Order: sequence, then structure tokens, then C-alpha cells
Amino acid sequence: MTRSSSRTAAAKGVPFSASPVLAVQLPAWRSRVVLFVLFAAFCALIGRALWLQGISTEFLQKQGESRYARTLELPATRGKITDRNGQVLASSMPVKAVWAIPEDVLQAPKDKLAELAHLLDMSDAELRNKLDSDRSFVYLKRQVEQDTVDKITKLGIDGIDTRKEYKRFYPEADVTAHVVGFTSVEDAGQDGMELAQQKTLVGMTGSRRVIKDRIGHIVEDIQAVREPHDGKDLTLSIDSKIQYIAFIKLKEAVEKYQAKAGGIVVLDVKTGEVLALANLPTYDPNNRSVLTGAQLRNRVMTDTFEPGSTLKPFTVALALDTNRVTPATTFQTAPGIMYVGPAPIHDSHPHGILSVSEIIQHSSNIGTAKIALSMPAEEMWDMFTSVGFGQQPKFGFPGAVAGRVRPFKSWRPIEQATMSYGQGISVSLIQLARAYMIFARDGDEIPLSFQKVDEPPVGQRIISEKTAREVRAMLETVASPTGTAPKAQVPGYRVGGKTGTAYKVVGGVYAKPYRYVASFAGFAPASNPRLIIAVMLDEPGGVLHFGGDVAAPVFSEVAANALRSMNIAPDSTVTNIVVPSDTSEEAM
Amino acid sequence: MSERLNFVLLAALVLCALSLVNAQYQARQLFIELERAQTQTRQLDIEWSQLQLDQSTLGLHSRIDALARRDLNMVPLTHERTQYLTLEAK
Repeated sequence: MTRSSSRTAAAKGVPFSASPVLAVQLPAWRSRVVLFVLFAAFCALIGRALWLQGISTEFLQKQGESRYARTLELPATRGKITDRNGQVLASSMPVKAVWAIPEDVLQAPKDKLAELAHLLDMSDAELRNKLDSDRSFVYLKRQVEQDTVDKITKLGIDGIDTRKEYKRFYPEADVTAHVVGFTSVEDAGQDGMELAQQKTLVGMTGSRRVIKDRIGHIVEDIQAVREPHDGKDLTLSIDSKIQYIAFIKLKEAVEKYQAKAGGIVVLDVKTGEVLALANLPTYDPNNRSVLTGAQLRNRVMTDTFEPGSTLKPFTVALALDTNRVTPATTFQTAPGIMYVGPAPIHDSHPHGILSVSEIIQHSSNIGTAKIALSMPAEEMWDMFTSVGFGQQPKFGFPGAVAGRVRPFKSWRPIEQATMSYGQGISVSLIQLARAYMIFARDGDEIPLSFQKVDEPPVGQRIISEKTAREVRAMLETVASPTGTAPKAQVPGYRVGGKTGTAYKVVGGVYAKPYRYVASFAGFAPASNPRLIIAVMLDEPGGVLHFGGDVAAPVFSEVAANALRSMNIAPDSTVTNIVVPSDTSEEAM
Repeated sequence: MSERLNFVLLAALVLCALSLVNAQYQARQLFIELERAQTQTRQLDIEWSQLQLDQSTLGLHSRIDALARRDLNMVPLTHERTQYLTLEAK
């Protein structure tokens, strides 16, 4: 108190003008120095400002931006695959890939690593193996589901991180495996429709550059956003109900007749859509850790076989269409063996005089051969080619094969005769089913489609409507108590079709002892066909191996269930199916 | 006179500056909200896919078939037990 009061007193005591400090005379250069120093300081500031604002501005802006601007990747999902009714057959869900920086992870305590291994579904040794690498980045496991990832994050091990990715789920699993196909871990189509439609299914990832605030909120976009484009959804022509019926009935037959493999395809006659396509053996696309080539093989599309008698209707149709025969024209087929040059042709049962209708009904090789030999080879070749045999299929499915029909110029008479009943020619099951379109559709043919068709396509005429109806009537007699395929009958519906039992060719010659491919191709209901069903069983190992015994029952059951599920009215009052006890009448 | 004009202009300038600040603030708030809504869209999309997948999985024909046979003691429909109704032909 006293000190401050004495200071004020002192200040008050001396007037400012009389202050002795003012009286001191300083050298003039001192003020100049101060002035200069101040000026220099200002110059430095201005210079610095110029430097920052003018010359190094770009660098600084970049640095600044890198502290708040971020480029975000905008993920795009692969399109879903659904059946014709919208039931999901394949869908991508976000999952995580777990990756690690091995050096950091190995620092973690042992019990935590053990727990990690447990969560990742691996043994301790396996995990250690993965981490034992000098790289700074290793995937521990791809496509881990979110629940597991949460648990792993909770462990809090240093050096473990996750990356977003997608996993494809196939709810129908093995039932639709061969049609839908599957994708790789990188979400690229590998087989089936996933591969065929890769371009439209795959999405385009987008990106955006944004400013983030201190908390991590996005504040604004600094560039135009590159929008992500999700893959387009794909609607298949498959009807999952019919697919399931076809699959399960085929499976039962393959097991019951001890066949090595089997295939079935169901077509919609009006639109050319593939309603069902199943193969056995099959696989689960959700779990492909163990896969064999046999499981992956889409036999319906990629395997060719000698169709056998299922081809006879085409020979007969050609003869009818060119007015060489009528359904009532008769041929002598006795005594059950015939020679074309030195080569014999057999019927499994001698028949005597048969009309053209009966030749089909009893599947007489001799009758068919006699009809065929009355026609030039070129016309037969034209017929086979125009229904698609030996031609590369155009329905956009990976791996579909052309089959084999040799050029007609090299046909010898015996070959022409055997080809008329389906030997010396090879086709795939789907080609066979498609060829039956000409009978089911009153003589014209439409392209097949694996995608849903909105407008029925315009057909291309192959044979006349009259011929198609005549052949249809003949095929109906096959699926009757007196034909070769009484087991193909369906209660309440009129159906038609043709059996086939062919020897398997191995290395260019018929395999001995004989191995068979039993097949049946047919349509239902016969009055106004809506479905074509073709069934093939490869090497049935039991006592029964004829198409009429092993393949026809599959046709019958699938047709009955599919017709019912499609709400197609019955066209027959016959409900009591008569299957004669002796049904072994069958030619090749 | 010009002094008064300057004053008015100054006041206008300050107001404009403040409103700019306010507008920017509002814009950012709205942007954050938009962002949140978009995230929610994605989340819901994923959930929808998940539900669709669940529906397919639960509606598998094999599952329905098994449940119907085992738990409900149902048998497949046969032709004999079906009554067909047809529209009267005119």
C-alpha cells in the first residue's frame, strides 16, 4: 500500500513535461535502428505471407485437403437371381474379410490367439501357419459373417482388421446348382447363369470425395459423386416348384435304378422357356470345399449321347411330311432281322407287318430303317440339322455342346439306316427336348430361353401342322398300355413321348459289356401340349435298364405334378393306369 | 449524408455475412441428415435382401414338403381324390 501510494505521489509530484527522462539527449541513429528493425520485421511478415499465399499455396492446399478430405468407395451389389415367381435363387450379402498384420498379431497373448482360431474355425496350427509369413498383409479368412466379426473385434487383438466384401448365398442349394451356377470369392461368375450373365449381374462401384469434420461426419462433397450402379437382377425362366419336383423325382429314380448319373429338363411349349433343369450328381454351391468334376458337370447341356429310339419320330415325320408314307402305310418287319449290305439290323421282338403308327408304337428298328432308306440322305441330314442336332445351341449357356451329325455325303446306307433310329449320331438332352418342340408345337420351333419370356416368340416352321398332329397321335400310342412306355401314362392327362435305350460309346466303339443310356422324351397334355419333359439316366445298374422302365416313370411323375402346379385342366377321364406286367418290349 | 449511407451499407454487410454463416451451417446440418438417411437406405436395402433370402430359405419346397409330411401328416394330392370344376360351356 505504502509503495504504490508513494509511486502515485511521485508521479503526481512531477508534471510530465518536466520529466527528467525527456531531457535525456540520445544519439539520433538509435531511433533509426529501431525504425529499420520494425520495417525489416514487417517485410519478413509480408514476404512470408506472399510465400504461403502465392508460391507454395498448392502444396499447402493439398496438405490441408489431405487432412479433412477423404475419397470414399461406394460399393455396388451384384444383382440377385430369382426364379420366374420372384423366389430368390442367388443373393449377395455383405460380409467381412478378416486380415492381419502378422508381426503385430503374433505379439498377442496365446489364449487370445486360440480364441481367434476357434472363431475363424481353424486349428491353432493352421492360424499360426497363416501368420508365419514375412508379408505385412495376410487374409486370415474371407467371407466371414457379421456375428463372428463382431466377436473377433471384441477380442481386441492388435493388427487384426476387416474389409467389407460380399458373399453369395444360394438358398435352393443343390436343387438349382447347375442352372444358377456360382461365383468366386471375388464375386465373379464361374458357372451357369452366373457366368453367362456376368456382365449384367455385376455392379459398378462408385466413388465420392468428401470433407469430413473432426468427429468424422461428412460435411460436404467436393467433387461430383460417381454413383455406384448395382448389378441388374436376373429373372430366370426356372419355376422353383417344378424344378424341385423334377430334381426330387430324378433323384429317386437315380437311386432306385442305381444309375451313375441322370439329367432332366422341362420346357414350356408355348414360350420356349426352360422351366426346370436338373442333373445328378450335383453339389451345394454354398459349400464348395470338396467338388469333383462329375458333380460340376451339367450333363443336360454338355454331355452328348446316342439318343436311340427317341430319334425315330423325326425319321417318320420327314417321311410323312414329304408324302412318302401315311400313318397307315405298312411295312414288313418280319423276321426281326434285316440286312443292309452285310450288316444286320435287329428288332428286340419280331413283329410282322406293321403300319407306320405301329412302327413308332412298338419302336421297330427295321421299320424305321426301311422308311429311312426310301429317302435321300441329304433330306434326313436337313431334318436333323433344322431341329438343331449337330448345331451349336444359341441359348447363351456356358458349355452347351453341338453334338455330332456327320455330313450326309459320307453316309453309307447302313449308317443312314442306323441313324434313323438314333445310332451313329449324338445329341445332348436339351437338344433332344428342344427338337420335340416341332411335334408339341404343331410343326414349328422356337428358341429356348433361360430367362423369363414376356412375349411368346414367333416360331420357324419345320414340318406341316398335319404331320405334327399325326406324329403326336403316334407318340400317344407309345405311352399307352400296348406301347413301349406304359409307365409314362399320367392319370387324368393324355401324354405322348418316345423311349430310348442306347448303348454307350466309349472310345469310338460300343462299350462291352453293354452300358446303357436310358431316356424318355415326351409332352403333356397331348390335346394341347404345354410341357416337354426329357429324362436321361446314365448307366442304370439294376435289372431294369430300358428307357420305358426307368426314364418313363420319372416323366410320368414329373408331368403329373407339374401339370397340377400349373393349373392345367385334365384332358382325359382315364384315371386307372394299366401297366402290363411284361414291359420289356423295347428296341434300341 | 454519405456517412449515413456508409452506416447502412455496413449494417447490410454484417447482416449478409451473418446470414451466409447461418446458411452454411444449415447446409451442413441438412447434409449430415441426408447422409444419415442414405446410410439408413443402404441398411434397409441390406435388411430387405436378408429377409428375401430368409423367405426363400424358409419357403424351400423341400422344407415345406418335409414339414407337411412329418408334422402335419399330409399326403400328396392324387388324381383320384381331386374334384375338377369346369366352367359351364356356353
